[in-house]
Amino acid sequence: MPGQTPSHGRPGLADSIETWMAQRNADVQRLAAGAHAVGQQVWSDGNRLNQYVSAARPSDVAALGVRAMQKATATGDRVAAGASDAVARQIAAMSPAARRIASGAGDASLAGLNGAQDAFTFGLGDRAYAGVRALADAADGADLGRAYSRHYAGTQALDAYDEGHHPIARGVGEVAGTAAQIGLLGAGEGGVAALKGLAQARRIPQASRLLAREGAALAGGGATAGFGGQAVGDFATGRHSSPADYAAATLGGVAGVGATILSRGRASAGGAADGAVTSVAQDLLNGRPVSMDNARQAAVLGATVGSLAGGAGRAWSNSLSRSAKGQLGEGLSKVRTVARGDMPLADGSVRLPLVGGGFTIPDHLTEGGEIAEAKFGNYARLSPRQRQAYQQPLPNYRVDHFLPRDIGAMFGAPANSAALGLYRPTENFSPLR
Amino acid sequence: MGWMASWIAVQRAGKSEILQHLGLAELGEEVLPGTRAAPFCCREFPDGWLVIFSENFDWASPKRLLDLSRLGFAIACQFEDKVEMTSALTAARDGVELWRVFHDNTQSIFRLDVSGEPPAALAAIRDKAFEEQRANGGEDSSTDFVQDVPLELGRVVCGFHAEEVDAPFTALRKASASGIGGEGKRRGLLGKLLSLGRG
Repeated sequence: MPGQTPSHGRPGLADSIETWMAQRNADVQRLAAGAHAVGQQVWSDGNRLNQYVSAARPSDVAALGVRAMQKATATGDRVAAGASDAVARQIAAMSPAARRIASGAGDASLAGLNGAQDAFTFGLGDRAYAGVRALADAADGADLGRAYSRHYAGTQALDAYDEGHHPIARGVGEVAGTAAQIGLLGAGEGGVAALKGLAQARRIPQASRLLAREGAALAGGGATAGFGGQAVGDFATGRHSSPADYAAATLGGVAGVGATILSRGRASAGGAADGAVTSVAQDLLNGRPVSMDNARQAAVLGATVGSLAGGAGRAWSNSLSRSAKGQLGEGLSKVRTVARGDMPLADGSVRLPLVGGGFTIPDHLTEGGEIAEAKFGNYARLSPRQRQAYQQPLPNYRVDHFLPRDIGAMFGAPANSAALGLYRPTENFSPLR
Repeated sequence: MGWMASWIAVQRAGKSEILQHLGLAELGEEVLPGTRAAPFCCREFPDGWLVIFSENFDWASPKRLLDLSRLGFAIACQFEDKVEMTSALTAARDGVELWRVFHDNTQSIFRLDVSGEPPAALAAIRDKAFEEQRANGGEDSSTDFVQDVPLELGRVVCGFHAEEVDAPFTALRKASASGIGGEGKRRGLLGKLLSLGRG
């Protein structure tokens, strides 16, 4: 940089230590002034090119200048090499945003972390950071409101910088942050259940597994919920969704049910899958470029609503009286019989004698000859007679064991489909921005 | 239906007196307890016991037991094998509770709360059930053997065990609104909805 080259005298070459110190201080002052001038130029150029560069404080402007001078060093300029102390001081004084912009190399991973933080906290992390910095500035006599605005603007500039320079890293970070958020919602869904004493939720091993036909019936339920959710959204907002939107919502509903089953009844997982698949499918089927940002937002919304509705379903079913739980189990068992392509007999309360004495009374018999025993709740087990019937074996003896989490899943699917039907994703959405 | 039922047995009291007290009357039909063919049914057992069986878990409540125990020594049993594997056997005389044995597996599959001084036969019944439970996986077992303890104790006391007695009972109907035999609780919306499919 012309006019900014400092002298490099050593004590032995100077007339005295004092003379050297004076020379050195003059060099540093010249460097700082020069860095500030260069920084102002970079800031000005950046804004002229519509690339917002954060330099909220004088030290940030100087930092930009230092960065520019570092680049010059790489091309043979001697400025930075002779002012390493000043550079270190300048960098130490920078805000993280300016430091990131100034440091250049290696910040792809930081862009990823920043994206993860933004996604995970819905942008609250930026606000918290700005608040802490503003408080520190206020302690030094600065105006709190202005300091907050300045620091928050810095974080937004950093986000814009990351999106412009490290879009993949930031995108990966956002996906990771979203995944962590969904995972936390799932854990929260389970945590609420644990607080309610439902931690030992497990199905007894003798419970009959889902038939493919039952899986298809559940998928049909998910499809209906997805389609219905889109219709609810259209009705409530006066919007007219395209057939492609409906097809995508239907597909999302099916994916949601699949994810719920695979995650052992986590409505949050189902909601996340519903949201992501609906969003991506709507983009694809409508001929739009796929927006991963929209998919991510929809996944978070689905997971949030699914978690809340799922938790409500678990809590409600668990709060029922013993008798009501028993009736709920019996009712669900009959629904299951129908889903299996069979029909419950109207009067199925019979005593079935067992080998070795005693008898068991199943909940209902079916037209197809099945003997159904229904149980509901996390503490349901087989009675000795029922175990006898299972081991005997009593032909076509079927044990249906429903858990509160199943009710949570039943609550979650239509709730998150409706929420997704009402929701219209927008790019760069953040509820707190 | 599995079991979600209850019964009260009263010793050495007149059948008609008990039924009248409960506001119940005999229908004349024979039914098997647990089949829901009638909401109430009764049968006499040796040693002057009359067992009144209800298809409703909540019917044989402590309050109803204490009331009936003014007519004679009485025991009440509530049991279900669909939700929490609950079973309870309570004895009372002259309106005073004498002893109680209670099980559910919400805290432990070995849970067996005992108050008062139940019959000495309880110890052997309990030891056998605990041993069976331990031999079949203990807490992790998918079968609750301890649930049978109060039911088996009931058989020892009055001769009735709902899962072992094949003899038919006499169906009962409500004879008056003034008796204490009614369901005691109106069925809610959920109950009505879930009972629609029943024959």
